[in-house]
Amino acid sequence: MEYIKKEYAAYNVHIIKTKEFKTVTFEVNFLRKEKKEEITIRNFLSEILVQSSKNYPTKRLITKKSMELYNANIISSNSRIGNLSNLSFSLNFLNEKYTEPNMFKNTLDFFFEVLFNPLIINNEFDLKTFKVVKKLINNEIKSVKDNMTKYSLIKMLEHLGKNEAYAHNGYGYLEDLELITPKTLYEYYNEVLKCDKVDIMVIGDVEEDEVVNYIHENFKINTVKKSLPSPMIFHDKIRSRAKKEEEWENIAQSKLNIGFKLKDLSKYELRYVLPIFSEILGGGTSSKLFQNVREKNSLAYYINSMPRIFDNLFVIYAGINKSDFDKTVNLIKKELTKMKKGKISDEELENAKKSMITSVDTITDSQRRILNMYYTNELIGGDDILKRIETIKNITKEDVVRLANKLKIDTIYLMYGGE
Amino acid sequence: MEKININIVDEPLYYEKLENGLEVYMIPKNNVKNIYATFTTRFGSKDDEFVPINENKMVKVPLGIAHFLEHKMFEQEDGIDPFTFYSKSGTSANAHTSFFNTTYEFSGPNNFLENLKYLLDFVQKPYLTPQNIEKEKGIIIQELKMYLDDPFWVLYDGIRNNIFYKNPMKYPIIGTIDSINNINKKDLLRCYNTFYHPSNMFVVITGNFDPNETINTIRENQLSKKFKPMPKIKTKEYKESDKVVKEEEIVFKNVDNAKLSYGIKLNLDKLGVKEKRKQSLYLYILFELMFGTSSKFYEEMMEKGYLSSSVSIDKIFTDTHVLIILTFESNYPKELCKEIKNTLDNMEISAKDLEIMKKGILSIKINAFDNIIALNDVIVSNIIDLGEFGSDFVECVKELNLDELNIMIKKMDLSNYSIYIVNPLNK
Repeated sequence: MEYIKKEYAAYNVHIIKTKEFKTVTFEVNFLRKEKKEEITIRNFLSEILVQSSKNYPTKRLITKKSMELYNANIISSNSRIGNLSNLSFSLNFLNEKYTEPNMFKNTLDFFFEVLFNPLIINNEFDLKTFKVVKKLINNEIKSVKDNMTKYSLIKMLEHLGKNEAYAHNGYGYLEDLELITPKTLYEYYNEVLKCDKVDIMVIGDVEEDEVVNYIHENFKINTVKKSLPSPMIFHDKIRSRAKKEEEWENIAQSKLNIGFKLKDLSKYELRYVLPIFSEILGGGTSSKLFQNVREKNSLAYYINSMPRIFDNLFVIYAGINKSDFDKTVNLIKKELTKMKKGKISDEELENAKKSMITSVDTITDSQRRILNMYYTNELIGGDDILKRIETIKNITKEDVVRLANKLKIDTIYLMYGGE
Repeated sequence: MEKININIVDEPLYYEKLENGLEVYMIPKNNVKNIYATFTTRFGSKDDEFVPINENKMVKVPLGIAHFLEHKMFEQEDGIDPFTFYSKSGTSANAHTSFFNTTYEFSGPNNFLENLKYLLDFVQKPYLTPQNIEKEKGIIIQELKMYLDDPFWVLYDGIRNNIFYKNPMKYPIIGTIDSINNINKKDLLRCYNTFYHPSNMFVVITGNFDPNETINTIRENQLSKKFKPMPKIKTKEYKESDKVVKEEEIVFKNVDNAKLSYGIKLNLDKLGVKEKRKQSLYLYILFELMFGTSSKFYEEMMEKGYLSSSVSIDKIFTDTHVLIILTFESNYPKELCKEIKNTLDNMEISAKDLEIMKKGILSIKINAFDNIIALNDVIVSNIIDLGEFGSDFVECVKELNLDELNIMIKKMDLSNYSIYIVNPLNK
């Protein structure tokens, strides 16, 4: 695997040459500072570009074209990375070896058509497509409750800091949706092309010159980009006493979410020690929480913990009966206290390290994970795989205990119902 | 050990059937780091009535028992559970239960042969006590409650319940709160002893390993254990009507957008195409082209505002029937159903569209070879659905033609359908 980075004024090109995959992935990332009022319009843009284009004016024709290109799917998404918002388009297609001559160029032509040749009439997005996408986005916003685990997590984060980026609802907001018009959407599209930081990621069995030349000829962005702030979110205030919040919903299973704000963690602690801490406490099936809350006390089917590195947050979440709320919270607190007092066996530490090493070690098996690694490195820097494994091996119990003592519960949240 | 070439990618599959009946499928891929191994028994939620080994009468066991047994296999007599064993080498373990099978799995690049032996050992050695069975009930009832809050789960269980008369695939894989509470040690052991015999099971391994060393390890492990010869398992055969139980049902849930499933029940003997693999491919092509995002239906319904998301298309095969389940999000479910019927009555496919779909199908298959987990899943489901891996997939796809598809469209009886609607509470 060979990594090449080319920096140009308007964009960077990252090429990862590898013969290990039967497909090639092209990904274009547009990045800017995250703003609550832009989430909906960015989601809208992400969807409308893959719904139609000048030469393929409906979703039906776009889908047919991608099927003709041996299922060359274009997937778009808009996601938050800490303080930043990443609008991403990715294309995964079979290496020409498995298809027909010229498919490489034909497939990229299709991808760039979708990105740069949208169906615009009189400086506005085509109204028919606009209406369809509006319906889709409306549905997405409204279906947030279809997944109660996710929905309750958003609710808990709102209690942690209502106006903070991490509490924004990534599905968007109905009131913002109403403000979007085909004209403002086209203006926003042009602004994204002009202002957003652009990184083009390519992975597969490709030729560097062929890729770079193709991009130079066809990638229609030439504005010089300003640098962006760091994606990392920091917290000014940390609560010394946890607060409790409860809300009712019409649900069969109550959702317990516990949120922690992290402060003064070093880069090493945040990126290496915190994942290990989380693995021991509530990572997998051998974690303290899984063993004690689920296996010994049958209180939950799922109980997990999760570090949110870019947000400097840590979350524990479980599905329980409302009547078991106190018992579950007490058990969780008991396990947290054990971590703080260093009641961690050598085996627990070693197992957590091994699990994290396996995860790092197998990054190279997946195009998606390789791309994510290089893109994260682009945003906040990072060690290569060997250095990561070395660092993980050297994590000590003292590191974990020191971190555990920096953790304070901010909010204990219960969404209850049923029973 | 046989070496079979998979012509779609020109890579080998290794196969062996051991003396005790256990089948082993292996696709080594030395360009990846990870290894993924699965151990599957052909025992799922549909097997709710059978003659247990060493008994002579049909016995009905509680719903959800296959899934319950899956949970309980992670209990071991020495107190070290499989999760803990695997975590020692940074390996992750899991299991899942479907209508047809229960599959145990691990993935990780380290300690492979030991991990594999352990997989065979823990699945071949149950440890059930009244206490650990009671303890599991609380956990599984929480799992069930989690599903109850998922509207798509409600749809999927609701529509099957209204389509099947007798087939146990009518019921939730996990069972019901009552049935879970009725599960006991005796029934669990009956199931285990009948269905977890090696001749009813198979191993599939994908990833970075040596096939010779691996098969030797498996042989040695299996030779060290004694299994009595297993007579053919008698499971209850259900005479399932072509009709559906109920044509329409509306329920109200905590959702903001209505959702609906439209389920069609088709008799496999009346499809005009005999081979199951082809039936499955033709049905996939037909319904994808008629209702997927490349269809006129999708385009028109989005424009009319009848649809608010794309359509998902599921197929469930039983011994006698296949269910096609189309699932939509829509605020105009009644109007949409009329349009669905109208589309079903006028199905037509062009030769060009068929060819495009064939390209897509081959591409999806090749793609799976880049991901050892997806590849393993494909192998397991082929063995369960078709009884074999099917290394001649390319030929099969190439043989698909418009004449056969048209015969199928003509013969298909679409009159047996059921509609299940989940409406918002305030509607």
